[in-house]
Amino acid sequence: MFFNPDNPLIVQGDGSLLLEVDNNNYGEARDFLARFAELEKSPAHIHTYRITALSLWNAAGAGLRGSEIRAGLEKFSKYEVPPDVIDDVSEKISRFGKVVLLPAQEEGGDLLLEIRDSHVSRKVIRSKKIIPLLGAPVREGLYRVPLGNRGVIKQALLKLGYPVEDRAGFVEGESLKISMRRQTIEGKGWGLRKYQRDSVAAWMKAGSEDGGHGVVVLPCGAGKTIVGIATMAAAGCHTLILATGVSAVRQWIEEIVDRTHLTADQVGEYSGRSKQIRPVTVTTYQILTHRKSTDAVFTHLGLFSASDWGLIIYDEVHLLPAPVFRITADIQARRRLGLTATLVREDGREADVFSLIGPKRFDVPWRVLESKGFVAEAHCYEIRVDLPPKLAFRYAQADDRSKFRIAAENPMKMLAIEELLEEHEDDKVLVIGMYLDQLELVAKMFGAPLITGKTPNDERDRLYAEFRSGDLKVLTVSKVANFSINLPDANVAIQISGTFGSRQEEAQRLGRILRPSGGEAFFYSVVTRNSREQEFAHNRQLFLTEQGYSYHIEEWTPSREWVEDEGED
Amino acid sequence: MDLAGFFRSLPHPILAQYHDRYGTESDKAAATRAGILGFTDKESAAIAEGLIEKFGDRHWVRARLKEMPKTHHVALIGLLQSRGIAGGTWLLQELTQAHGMSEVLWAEVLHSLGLDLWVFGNSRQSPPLFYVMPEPLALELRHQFRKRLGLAPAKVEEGDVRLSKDTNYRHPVGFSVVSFLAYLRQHPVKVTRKDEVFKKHHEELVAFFSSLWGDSATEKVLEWHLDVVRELGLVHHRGGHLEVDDLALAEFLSMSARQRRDVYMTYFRRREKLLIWLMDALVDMDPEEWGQLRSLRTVYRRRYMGGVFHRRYVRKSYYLPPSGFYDPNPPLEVLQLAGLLESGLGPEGSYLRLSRAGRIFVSGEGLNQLEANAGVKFMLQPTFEILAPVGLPLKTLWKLGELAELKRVDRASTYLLTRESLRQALDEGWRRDQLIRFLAEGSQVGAPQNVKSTIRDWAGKHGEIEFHDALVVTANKERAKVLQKLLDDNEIAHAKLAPGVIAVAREQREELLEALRGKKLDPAPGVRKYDIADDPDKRRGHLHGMLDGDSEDTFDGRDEPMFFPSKSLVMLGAPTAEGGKEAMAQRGFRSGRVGSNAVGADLSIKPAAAGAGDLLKLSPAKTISVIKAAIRLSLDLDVLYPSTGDNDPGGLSRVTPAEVREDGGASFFQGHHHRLDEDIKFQIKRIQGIRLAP
Repeated sequence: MFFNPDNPLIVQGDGSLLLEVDNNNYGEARDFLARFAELEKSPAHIHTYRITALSLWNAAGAGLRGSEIRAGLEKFSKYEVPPDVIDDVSEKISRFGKVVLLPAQEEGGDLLLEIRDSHVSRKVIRSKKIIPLLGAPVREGLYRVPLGNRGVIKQALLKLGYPVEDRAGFVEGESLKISMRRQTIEGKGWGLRKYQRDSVAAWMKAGSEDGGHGVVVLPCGAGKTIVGIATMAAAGCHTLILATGVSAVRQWIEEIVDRTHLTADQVGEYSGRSKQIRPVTVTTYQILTHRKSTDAVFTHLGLFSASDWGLIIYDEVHLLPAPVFRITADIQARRRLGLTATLVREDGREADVFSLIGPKRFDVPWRVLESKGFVAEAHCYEIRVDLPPKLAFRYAQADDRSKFRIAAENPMKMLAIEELLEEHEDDKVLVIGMYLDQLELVAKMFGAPLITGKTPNDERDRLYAEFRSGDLKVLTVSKVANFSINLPDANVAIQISGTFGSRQEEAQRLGRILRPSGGEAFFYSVVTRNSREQEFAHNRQLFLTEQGYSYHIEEWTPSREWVEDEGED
Repeated sequence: MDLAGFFRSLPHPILAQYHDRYGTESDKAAATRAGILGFTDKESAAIAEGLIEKFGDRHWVRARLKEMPKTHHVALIGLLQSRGIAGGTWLLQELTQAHGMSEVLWAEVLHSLGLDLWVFGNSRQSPPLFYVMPEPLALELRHQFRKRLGLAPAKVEEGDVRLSKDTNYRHPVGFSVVSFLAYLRQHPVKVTRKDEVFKKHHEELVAFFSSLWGDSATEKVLEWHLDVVRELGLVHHRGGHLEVDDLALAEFLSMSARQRRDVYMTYFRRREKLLIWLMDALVDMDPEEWGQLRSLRTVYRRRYMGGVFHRRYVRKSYYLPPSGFYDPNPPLEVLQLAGLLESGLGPEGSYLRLSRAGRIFVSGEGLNQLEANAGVKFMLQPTFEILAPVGLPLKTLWKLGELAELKRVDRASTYLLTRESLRQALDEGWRRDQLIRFLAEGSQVGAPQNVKSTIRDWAGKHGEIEFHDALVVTANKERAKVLQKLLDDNEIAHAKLAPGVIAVAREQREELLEALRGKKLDPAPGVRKYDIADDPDKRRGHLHGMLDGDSEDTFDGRDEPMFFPSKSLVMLGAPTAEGGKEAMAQRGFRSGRVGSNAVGADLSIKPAAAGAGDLLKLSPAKTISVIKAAIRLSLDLDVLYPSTGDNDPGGLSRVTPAEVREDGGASFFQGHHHRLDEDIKFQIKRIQGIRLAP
């Protein structure tokens, strides 16, 4: 088998691509792969990408051709590229552009579906699922499509294996002049980073007919919210923003007001507590999918038609719930921006994101941002702590469930936390945990205020503000910290208990310290040695190393003697 | 046999024919008679020397060949490609199929070549005709036609031939076989009594290996791998499952790349002898050149059938093989499945050539690079995954399978270190520190801290008490301290058993040797053995046995002509009583009802016996050949025959033969009975004795 040791890439027979990081050609190869393959895993030395139909169509949407992919693979590959892979790439990518959705010939009329391949055309008109979505044929290969079927026909054709290039254009929506501030309200100067400008431009496609919809993929801490705001400014229209929770809603509102000249009364919160509909409205997926019973209609879906929205932003698009997909299918004439750190969805509905929100328009690996100091360089540590002898005896006798709890609440962890806090006395530290008793103890021992689900919003906001300003160095948080609270200056997280099995939880917790404060970030997990907790921690270890974070295991021994009743009162 | 030996041992009648054909005019009459009645020793030696000189002169031979029409060359090449022997019916069909013309015309061509004594027939009287070319002549002709005997490269440009996706398998053989064995070691693969893999396990195997072997042909490649590992004894059946044979595998892995290549070659030969020849035929072409499948099939068919006819000839079982044998397909698939052959489609059908791996395989040059690329190491990731790329030394690859679960096989296979895999490795003899050292040293990026730490954690107290397969090093008093220090300094695992007696990890022997040499100590290079059966170097197993068995038939020079016992050669070209070449063409050899192949020159009949000596009681066929010879040479016969009628009491009579014929299923010859002075019809089978009249 042909072998070129200087090349960085191994193209596997199943279409996955292994990229050697410690290689002179890594950077060039990475930039090339990012155009048509999804990054699956990025541990320290070898990154795994996967070529999928969607990733190829995303690439085709960005103008990449099959021959370029082939040439690039051959250029970077250590071994001969498997012919099956080349054939598969060529075949799949050639499907893009064969089916195009064109604007109506007269205002309010049907859209036109042009099929530029007679074989595909025959296949399409034989499909029982597609026929009902089509109007009368204009000629062979050109069919009318009722306006309301724009989304569903794209979904149906994608299922058939043919992505639709949507060139039908968008309604302008009600105009809204949005200009960006050069300084925040507090007077801090700021500007869009290059990759943020590039992602907006890639989404807009210079205002061309196939621009104005699609997904921007940026890692945690890269400023997706900023990209969303810049897109709003570029689109200049009424905007509806869908976020994952109330905290995120408020975060969006704060950022919009802070970064643009829009006033607070131009930006509305549409949530359980407030139902403001304003030129820029931020809402949650939960409220949109709320209904009184499983048979009832969704109470708040009317929000989509409550204003003449020119742009809809889907934050964390990988979490988009099914009912929102359905309504999105009906509003295909509106511009859509998806924001996410990953296109991979737990429910496997990546194809719906492609059809209904749009193709991936921009992607930048976090390693690139890390190397440029835009996101913090994270170091992960697993600190293994012994159980005190008395608890070790209890642990040995306990059932599995109790064992986990005993290990998680191991009081020896307090000594480890103490040492870590001493080590990071100049940093901003979040202590994150799952059990309230334990968290209260931490709060008490180290004078670190605790935020839980029960903490009133005003109190939360006050603590967040203190933490941001630096008046507060250590904050203890429960699971509530998992989603979308933005603590820009946190650079150390100490996880003292958690479910550990949840990758999403790990990602979110880590995300808390990757905000672009520059420098390094430290993510500690304190676990009980030789316990169920340590077994669970292995999953976290795998997840974090897969993501490319360095992971160290420290067998910790206390620098002072443990008193049996310490911390137990 | 060489040319000299051939001519010197020729029976006189044939020698006479050679002399008649290639000697001077004045000699011919004497030679004709001498051919029947026998030369003196002096005469025959002189004639033989003359022929040796002529046939040994390549210019002279070339001149003779130039005198021939091109059809004669084609026929000679056909016969040479079938290694000098061919059934008559088949060769005529073969020549017709490959070059056109009719079988009758080709029979004439061969008859003419017989007259020129380049081609002979077989000696039995009634079987079908075999065309035979004696070895020394074949050797000379092979030289003359050397450029036309092999596979001719097709006249196509590189771009004209498109590689076919479905027949080109690019898996690297060694890597693939060892990965396959690693899978068999880690997964139960059940087999039926008929040696078939259970459907479920078969499907799992197909699914598992499809990314390495290619989707379209995984099943075929799987069958090939199963066949290889069984044939090489690398797996055996145990409890209805396929189980890796550890000893055979150890032997396989300890072989050099060349030895392993030879083992595969032996496998190919066992599958089909001509596979090696096929590779040889293809390796003669330039790497970029393609051979046309059609041409390869022709060359292969001739070679194959030559082997079939040769076996029949040697065993004297001249029956013709069934017609289905006449167009055998070359067994290309086995080579393709091994990734040694690539095929493509071009302007005139299918084309073939050896793949790069195939060329290395045949030539033996660069075999090390084919199996293991210099500097290739595995990658141990902090995720506990080990990526093992193609080119990794096979021993290392196998060790990974001992330590970690094989999760995926591809250009870079994925192994995963788990608590279970680690425990199993420890149970099977790995030591914790040895394992960590292997991973740290073998990995291109070392062993990540989290992995080392976790391995220590998983291993726990495992191995605190162990059995060791260690080397015992002894040193005298003066050296004992130096040795101890050396072991400590070089971190060589050891245990002191007694003063001057230290157990050392076997795998660190080389390291220790080097360290000792570095200190200018002079260690005994070998290991003192106490039980030879335990010496892996001396334990030559099954695979070496396979190679030994093949040593007499080397992989080179595989296309030499075959030896035919010349005493059973029959001249084709002698004029026959049936009308010469026309009769030759029309004889019923295809139906199996054959008259004699030639006349008078059956070398199994001693010339003296057929001549002036005592009467011979011959078989009907031999009797006929003697009679025909007499007719051709206008000689009389002495025939012992019962009464031919009322006036004849029977007995020995001199007869002038006129013709041989068949009548009502019986053979007769017509001749003038001197004593009765009348023409009499003699029934062949009633002849009790016969000889040429002196």
